Amino acid sequence: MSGLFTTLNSTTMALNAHSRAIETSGRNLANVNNPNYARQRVLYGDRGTVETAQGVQSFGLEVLAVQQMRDQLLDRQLLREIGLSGSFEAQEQALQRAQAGLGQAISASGTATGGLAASLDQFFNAFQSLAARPTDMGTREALLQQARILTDTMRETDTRLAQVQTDLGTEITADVSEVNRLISTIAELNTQIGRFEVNRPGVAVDLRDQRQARLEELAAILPVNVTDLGNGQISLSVKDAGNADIVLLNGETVNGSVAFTGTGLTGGSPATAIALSSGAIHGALAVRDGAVQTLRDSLDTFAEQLVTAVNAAYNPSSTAGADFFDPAGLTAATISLESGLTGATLVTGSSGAAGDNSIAIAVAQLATRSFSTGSGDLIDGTLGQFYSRSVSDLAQALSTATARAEDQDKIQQLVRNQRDTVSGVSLDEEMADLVKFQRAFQASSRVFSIVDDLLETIVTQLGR
Amino acid sequence: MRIATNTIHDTVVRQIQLLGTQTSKLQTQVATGQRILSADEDPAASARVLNHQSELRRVDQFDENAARAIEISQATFAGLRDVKEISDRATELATLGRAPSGPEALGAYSAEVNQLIEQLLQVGNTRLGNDYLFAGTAVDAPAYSATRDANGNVTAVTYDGNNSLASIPLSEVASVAPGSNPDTNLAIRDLLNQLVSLRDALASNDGAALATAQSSLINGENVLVTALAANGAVQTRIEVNRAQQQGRGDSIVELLGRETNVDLPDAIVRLNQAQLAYQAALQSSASIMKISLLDYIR
Repeated sequence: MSGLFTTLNSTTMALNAHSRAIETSGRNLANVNNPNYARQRVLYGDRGTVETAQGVQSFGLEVLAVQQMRDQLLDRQLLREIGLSGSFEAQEQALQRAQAGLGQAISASGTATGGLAASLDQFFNAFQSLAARPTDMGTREALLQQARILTDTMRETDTRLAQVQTDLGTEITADVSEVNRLISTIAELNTQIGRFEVNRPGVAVDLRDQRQARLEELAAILPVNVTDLGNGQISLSVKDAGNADIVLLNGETVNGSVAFTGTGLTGGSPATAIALSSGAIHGALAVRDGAVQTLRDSLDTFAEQLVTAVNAAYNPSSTAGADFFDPAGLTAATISLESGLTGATLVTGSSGAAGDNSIAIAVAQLATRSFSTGSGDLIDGTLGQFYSRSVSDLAQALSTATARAEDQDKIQQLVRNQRDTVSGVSLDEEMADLVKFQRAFQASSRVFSIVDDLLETIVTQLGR
Repeated sequence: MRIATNTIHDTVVRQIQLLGTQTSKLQTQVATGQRILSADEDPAASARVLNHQSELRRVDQFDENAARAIEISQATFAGLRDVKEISDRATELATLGRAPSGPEALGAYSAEVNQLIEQLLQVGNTRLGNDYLFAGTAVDAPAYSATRDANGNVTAVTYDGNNSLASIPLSEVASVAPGSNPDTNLAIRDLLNQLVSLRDALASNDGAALATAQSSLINGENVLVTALAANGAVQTRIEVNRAQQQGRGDSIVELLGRETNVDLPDAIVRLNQAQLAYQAALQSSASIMKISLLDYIR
């Protein structure tokens, strides 16, 4: 009698366990498209056995735990790869904007207009035209027009590049706010996980999924070192210049906040400068203060060489107020024509004769003059070569960033796929499990039914 | 190895995106005929393209300079030819004047020489556009000014131009002075003054003065002939230089094409391959993604 009831009881427990397994498969299937979700598995087991007169008897099958299929090593490796991807992608995007800001399209046409290269050529060609027609007012006005186009192009280019730098600074500020928000969110999740897992470590699986998702978001911006504190909670740290840890989060406690100083980040308490090595902030800062600033510096050098060389050729006696370019405007942002310069006051020759074109020729010849820093010039090579080198350098930086971003994306995808082999949900697998658990449930139900029949036989048929 | 459903979907989407990107890039190359559209696609080639384009713009400008030099040179030649014709007629009149002639004939010769003086003065102050052709680089004022007597006849001519000669660059290393050189300009002034002497000698029937004027005219003619020959040489030089620059331009265009032009047959073949792969990827992914164990169990 007691055996049948025990069987009935253990069958009920089995039905519960199978229900739980079906529910878990259902949850897995529901999250099949959730990239942050780690599949779950029920762990079946006996609560124990007992020695009875009939022999050893089981207490019955039950679900001991729902296990989250995660590989912490792969999770951490993915965080590192996400950080590198974030950096390269940020560099690629920033350099694409800088290249657009430079406005130097590559055209197959030999007479392509637009961009600083064409403006520079047209400026010197206008002096060539002036040399051929020194008294022609139309040519003189055309020259001044080309000169204004050149100075405007340089100023606009510098403004656009400066705007790219400002935008990057704004993005970094926004990223820093996001970093602080994510750290606070992770701290809250740490608190909730800690509460859930006081007695049952590892059971707050959904919260852990959420925390991993936030960690991956954080890694894309500011990669952090994650340390398991053993109670379900984690600490987050970054490195300073001396490779010492700066703790940003310790369990439930946020340690200071991350701040942008304009040139770098500080974090922890007391605030310490963070040594960045990857992440979107690192990428944006590297481009803002690296390639874009280098390009702007090159344009300034280009502008100064252009102004000094043209003025020296145009005003060989260095008469005050008789220059072509304003001698005070020696940067790409400030380059401008000498005030009061008009078609009528434009000087073409040194003798004062209307048809003297010696100065026009001298300026026009600067187009092909090879400068040398060894001789006290500011650049090496011609002005055109210097500019095309600057374009090429930026393009090379962008090309490299694109290639590295693509490579890194492949690596990240590889690691993500590896992680998904452990944590990802397989529709077919879950369907197979579902059928398996369904069959198990049906079998247990049959046992239940048989026991019920037996009990009915005993209760209603025996003793008649 | 377990394959997560998400992995299959992600991989499919990434492959389709990759093939889509390749197809789009190849289609753009085929449509534009250009291999590179932005500098980052080939940084080294981009720098070369910018340098080639710069050189080509320079060559185009030198061609414009050459065209201007030809204009000046041809105008100068036309002026010198007129001067030479005037000089020739004056020499004839001097010869006729030295032959036995009556006062009426000498008076007629003198009147004709007087007209030649006015004509030569006009030729000497010829303008091309706004510029006086025979004034050196002082092109903004007439090259020659005349002193006239009470009857309006020219009595003396002075040269108001300068002794400079403007050059026009035809290449980075070559330039040409297509205008009239200072010696020629001064020779025109001298010719004008010789014509004044001839006119006066004819009018006064001064045999000695006629002989001197005739001799001076013949001597002066050499300068004009030399100037005409030099002008012809300058024009030839401009044309030769122009042809060289055009050849240079053609070479640069070819170099530019090598850097930027896409190999069209190759690009079209690769575009077809990419399109085929794209279609295959779409087809295979559609059949992979729409089936699962779900379709086979009840």
